[in-house]
Amino acid sequence: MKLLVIDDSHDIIDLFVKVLTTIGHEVVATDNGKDGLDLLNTQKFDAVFLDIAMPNFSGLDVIENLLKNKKLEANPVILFTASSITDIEVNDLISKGVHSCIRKPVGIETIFEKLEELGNIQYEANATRKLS
Amino acid sequence: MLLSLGTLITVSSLSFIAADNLLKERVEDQLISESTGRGTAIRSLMETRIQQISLLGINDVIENIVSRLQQNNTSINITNQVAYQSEFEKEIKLFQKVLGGSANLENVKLVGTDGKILLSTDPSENGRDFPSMNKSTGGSVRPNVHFDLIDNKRKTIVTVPVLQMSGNNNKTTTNPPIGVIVATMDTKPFDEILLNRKGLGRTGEVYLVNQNKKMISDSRFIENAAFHQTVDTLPVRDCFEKDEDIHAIYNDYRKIPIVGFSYCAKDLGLVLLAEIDEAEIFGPITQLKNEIIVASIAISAIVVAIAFYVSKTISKPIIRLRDEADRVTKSIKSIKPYEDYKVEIKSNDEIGHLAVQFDKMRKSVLETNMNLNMLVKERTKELTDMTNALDATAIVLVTDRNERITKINKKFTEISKYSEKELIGHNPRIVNSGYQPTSFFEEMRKTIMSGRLFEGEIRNKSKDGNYYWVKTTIVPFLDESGLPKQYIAIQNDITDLKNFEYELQEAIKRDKESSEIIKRQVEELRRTNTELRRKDKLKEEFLSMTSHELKTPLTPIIGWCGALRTPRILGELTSKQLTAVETIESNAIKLERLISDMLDAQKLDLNELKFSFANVEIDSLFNKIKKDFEPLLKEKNIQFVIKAEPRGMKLKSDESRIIQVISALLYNSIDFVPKNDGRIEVTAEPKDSTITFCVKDNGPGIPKNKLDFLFKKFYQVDTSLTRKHGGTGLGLAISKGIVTGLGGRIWVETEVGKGSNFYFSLPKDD
Repeated sequence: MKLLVIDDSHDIIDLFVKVLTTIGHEVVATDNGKDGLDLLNTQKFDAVFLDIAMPNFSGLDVIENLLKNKKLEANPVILFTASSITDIEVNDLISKGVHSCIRKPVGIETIFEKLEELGNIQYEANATRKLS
Repeated sequence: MLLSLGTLITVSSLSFIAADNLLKERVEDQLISESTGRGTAIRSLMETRIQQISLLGINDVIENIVSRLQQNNTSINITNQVAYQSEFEKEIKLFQKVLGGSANLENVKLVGTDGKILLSTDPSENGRDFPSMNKSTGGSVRPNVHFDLIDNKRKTIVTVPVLQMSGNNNKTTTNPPIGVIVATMDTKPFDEILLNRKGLGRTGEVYLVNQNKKMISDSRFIENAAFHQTVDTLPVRDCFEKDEDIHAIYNDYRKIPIVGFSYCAKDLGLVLLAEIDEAEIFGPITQLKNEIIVASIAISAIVVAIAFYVSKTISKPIIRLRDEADRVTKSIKSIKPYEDYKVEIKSNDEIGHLAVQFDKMRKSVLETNMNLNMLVKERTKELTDMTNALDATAIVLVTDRNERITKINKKFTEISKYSEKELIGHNPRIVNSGYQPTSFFEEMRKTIMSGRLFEGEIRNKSKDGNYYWVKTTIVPFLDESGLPKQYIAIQNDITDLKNFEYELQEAIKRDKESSEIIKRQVEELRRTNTELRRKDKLKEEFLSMTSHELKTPLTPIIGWCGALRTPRILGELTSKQLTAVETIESNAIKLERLISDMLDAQKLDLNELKFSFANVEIDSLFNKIKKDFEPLLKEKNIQFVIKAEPRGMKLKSDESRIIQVISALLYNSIDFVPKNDGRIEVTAEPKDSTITFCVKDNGPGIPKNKLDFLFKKFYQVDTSLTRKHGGTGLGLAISKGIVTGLGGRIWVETEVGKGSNFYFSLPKDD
């Protein structure tokens, strides 16, 4: 799968890139929202891990711009955050098209599960396309 | 002889005319004072009534009731109505006390601008239409007094608007009234003025007629005349068509000729009439006239008969007779006992008879004259009686044209505390309090000196230094040239009324001041509140930032531990290395839980715990818990049962918060169950309108004396266990906060050695 990681913590980017490429995924990463948005405007990803609390251009700014450009549907966004965003706010974002939310810190297994879940959808979608 | 006869007739006619004029003048004087005096008294009383009831119109309690009742006109519940009724009746009772016994409020009602009775002292009238109210003006009425029949009894009805006083001071002039007060009172004080007939002889009466030409007070001659008898007479027409007072002889409502005077008060919608039957006044004169005619004819006849026989020899006594007649003429004018003027002619012939006849006739003339004098005396007495009646009800002061006091009544000395001696001959300004400006009194003087009536309220000062208020009417009495010859001031003591008015205004002022203070305090509180909220927000921001900064470095720690445990990522570890990684990972997870719990505990303190309510399916919720905890419990070798009976239970609540509570209870139990044969059971079952969850363990149980502290922050039953059981000590406190926030209840059933059952129940709906 082609994945995008947007997080201002270089240690977290390092973890994602090293672990996920080891198990066969293609991982693109950036430490700021602005570059992340540029990548999303030019490429399509199977999953995007998006941090919320980032300086200057936050995860919420990224989502806002994706909504404007109607790119949110094509790129499943998983909020990956340590900030104290409430369930109400999360549900609001999900209703607008965000895929889901994972709260930091979390075991590596949860990431794997999320990818399997998205991969299956992707796989089934591909299968449907093949059938039609 | 003819000269004598002429003189006789002249004498008779002169005496007749003199008596006629004298009587007319007396009656006129009397009727003027009857109509003007009583008219001004009626006017003064009516205005007093309006002033009294107007005080109710600016009473803030009444105003409040009226505006509240009108605002929720459609939705007054019964309790409110009863509260308003009792508040209203209390206020009216209080007001009656202020008015005193002279004004008796029989009924008071508040009428809204839509013409419905909002409240009445007779509660059965509440909500009814008030027919006399003109809806088109939206309740805009001028204060007025009128008389009407209610249950066939004459009543005084006073109508005044209710004005909105709150807010700025000038609202009384700009705001339309929000309702009307209608007060019903008896007519006794008015009747006392009208029905006192002491000065009115046998046929005189004083009564009122309204603009519909109906008599509105009692008649002396017709029973039950008020509001039934039409009075379409000259003075009534003159009053309502030309606004003029008249005095004249005309037919009254009984079609009987009367001498009448009117006092026209067109502005008040009534005219006062003082009338005495013409017959009563002129009766004695008519009688006198007739007697003189008879006497003249008789004398003429005798004189003609004698004329044939009379010679010069008898002319002497005739001349004597003529002289006597002259003297009698003088005597009538100066009124002296007639015995002094007896004609001394002693003769048995015709002349002697004539002398006797003449004597008789003279006697009759003088007697009539005496009767006339009696009548005048009687009238004077009646006038005095009337003055006494006025004295009893009002403060009276009479001055001459130079404003020197010539007469005062007892009431004046009572209120002013000056003796008669100190007042007579002095100017009335002796009681001036200096409260009102000189211009006020200059205006008053200008009015009365030009012969016009003055009415006004004056604050006076008594000899002992006390102030008193009088409502004053000054009536100037004019001489022939139209200049005032004397002034009569009729005053009523309105000190109580004025004091009440003053107190009322003071109270309104105090109210305003205290509301200013409250406004300032509220403003201060608002500022403090804003400041506190700002600080709270800073605190919250600090907390969430701290939480973020602590959790972020834990992410790669826990992430790399997971990667290390997974052989296909970083290769196989030795079992010693694996144990080390697992220890790092489990402690990092504990640290994360501690941070989350601390944040929640802080939020609990700040009342910032937020909930998102949605439909919660118990089956799916239990599946999530099973998935989260089964591996951990298996690893720890703890027997784990989780079941919800019956299936398909639902409630409206916050799923993630319920999971948080059950997780906290589970972590708590995991820490305390024995190393071997540990057992934890999670259940949910419906109970009444709630669903009750239970987490049951076979741990050591909790001693009874520790139960009180169980749900407090940072508490563990045995503090020495803290190291052994790594709980944060926050889980139960947070759980209690969450359950309470979700509208439920949390409790524990436990016994030392027999494990613990933690329960919490949540409402199914809401």
